[in-house]
Amino acid sequence: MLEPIRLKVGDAIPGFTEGPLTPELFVAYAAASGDYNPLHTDPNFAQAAGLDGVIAHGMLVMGMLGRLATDIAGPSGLLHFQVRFRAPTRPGETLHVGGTITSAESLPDERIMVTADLWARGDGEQLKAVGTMMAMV
Amino acid sequence: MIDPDNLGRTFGPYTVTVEREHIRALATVLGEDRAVYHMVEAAHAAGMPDLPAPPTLATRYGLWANPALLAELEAIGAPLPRLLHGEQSYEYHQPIFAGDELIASPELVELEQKMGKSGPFEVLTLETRWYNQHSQLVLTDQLVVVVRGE
Repeated sequence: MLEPIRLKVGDAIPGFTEGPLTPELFVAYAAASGDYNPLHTDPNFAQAAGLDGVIAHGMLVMGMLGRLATDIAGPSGLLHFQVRFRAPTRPGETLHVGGTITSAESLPDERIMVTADLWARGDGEQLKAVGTMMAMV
Repeated sequence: MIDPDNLGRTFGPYTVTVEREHIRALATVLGEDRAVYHMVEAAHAAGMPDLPAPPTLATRYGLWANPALLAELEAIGAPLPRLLHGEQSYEYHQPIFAGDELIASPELVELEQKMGKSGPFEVLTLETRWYNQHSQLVLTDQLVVVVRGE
């Protein structure tokens, strides 16, 4: 198992890139998450809804940020995790996720309470989602 | 428009069993390859009783994956085709593992009418407090949806 990464305030969290995202990934995410809204998988439905094609599930993007949160927190250290969805993500786009440590406080039991800002953007600077996390590591 | 009398209303309760396959499938599609999310032996080696829930597992049991709850929202004037996921937050109180039995009654805790460039819309916040088989509060899930105008 990977050990949680130890970082200090102001440090950038080593992020990662996923993509280009494919329509097949959205179909796979629908099956894995139980969210079968055709907006994410059926181009005709998405067009009828006024979009120019399918868009990713917001929770797919949050799930990617969750991987980053787990890099910091490990599988059992996360206390709080929240995300605001800012822009839709379309097939062909690549997600770039990253974050910054915003606070780190040593506790009497030698554990550390960490907070971080998290973000996901597409190619270019457009933010897809921004969030925060708090963890005990 | 959603009748403001719905504020404070609860839905369900809904019960779910956390399956290993739910955890593995979500981890796999997210590219989360840490062994604890896939192999029971790895979870045991890390001191856990079974596969742990990834941070967003509750979405597997939440609004988007719950046709009965989606039907309830449609009945009060918030049908799926007009819903957009605006915000999501999770507060983790106790760990969740495969094999856990969870129960929750999602509550409509906020309802706002707003005016946008293309007309009125509503913002609805659904809070779901999940309890496990030991009656422990394990997770508070807050889901904010934008209900686009007709």
